[in-house]
Amino acid sequence: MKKGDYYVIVSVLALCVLLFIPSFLPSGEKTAEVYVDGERVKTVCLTSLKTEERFEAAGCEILFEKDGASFIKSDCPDQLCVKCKKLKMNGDSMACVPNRVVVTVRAEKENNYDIVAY
Amino acid sequence: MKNMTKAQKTALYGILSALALLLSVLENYLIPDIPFLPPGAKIGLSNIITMLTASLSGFSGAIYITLLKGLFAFITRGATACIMSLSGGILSTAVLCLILRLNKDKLSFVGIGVLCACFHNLGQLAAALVISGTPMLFNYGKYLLIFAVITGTATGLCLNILMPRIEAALRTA
Repeated sequence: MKKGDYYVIVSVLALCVLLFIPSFLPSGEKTAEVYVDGERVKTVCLTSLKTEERFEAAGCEILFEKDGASFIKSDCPDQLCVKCKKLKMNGDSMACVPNRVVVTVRAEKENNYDIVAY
Repeated sequence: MKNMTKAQKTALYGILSALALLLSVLENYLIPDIPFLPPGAKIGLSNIITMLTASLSGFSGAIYITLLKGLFAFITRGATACIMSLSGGILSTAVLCLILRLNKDKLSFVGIGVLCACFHNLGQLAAALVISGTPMLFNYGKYLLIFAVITGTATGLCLNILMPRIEAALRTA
């Protein structure tokens, strides 16, 4: 190990800490968004969910719950999306790359969507 | 390395490629999903071989191993895995060779390994962004970076121990 190694490790970890800051910012309404091919196909306000909700998109099945969203089924070969834990924090995102489906969770102070399209 | 005959080089590349593929298989099938590891994150054992090849024979040898790994991923795990393997592999190999050329004594293999792992993840993340067309995915990078530090350090320590011995063995060969 050389001195430069420690600089590299410390600076990468510092970058991680910076990137993690948005996750811990105070949050308001929690919404989950589903994208297929980069287009938003569904937006769910998680905070106001009363029961869990399921949604199917491009071979993936996504479960929305009050505290987060997760992939529960997918027809892709690697199943990485299903293995991923529930997305809970602001900015948390997970993709099923073979199916081009992305789920992302936002927890922002105000809800800046005028229309929710299904 | 320079005074090797063509046959010796061919044999050495053969051994190194076989080792790289074997280590990829090992980490795919034998090491189960570690619970706290983010999905998609891997230890990068075969990166040991890429770094070893790069420091022995430079960019050409390392990129050859990387391309072979991509082909292997395509055959065993399909097109997406191949794109992921190549996007990360080519970027990290390029960075690796750049570091090796620019600075021989400031970093040991630990620092180089961590940087390679980071750029490997960056390449893969960029590929995932392009395929899915969703920039929000970039957020996943912070989880990958933490593990890049851990896995990069692990592979780097392996090489710190291995490299002097391999170089000594090649000198006497």
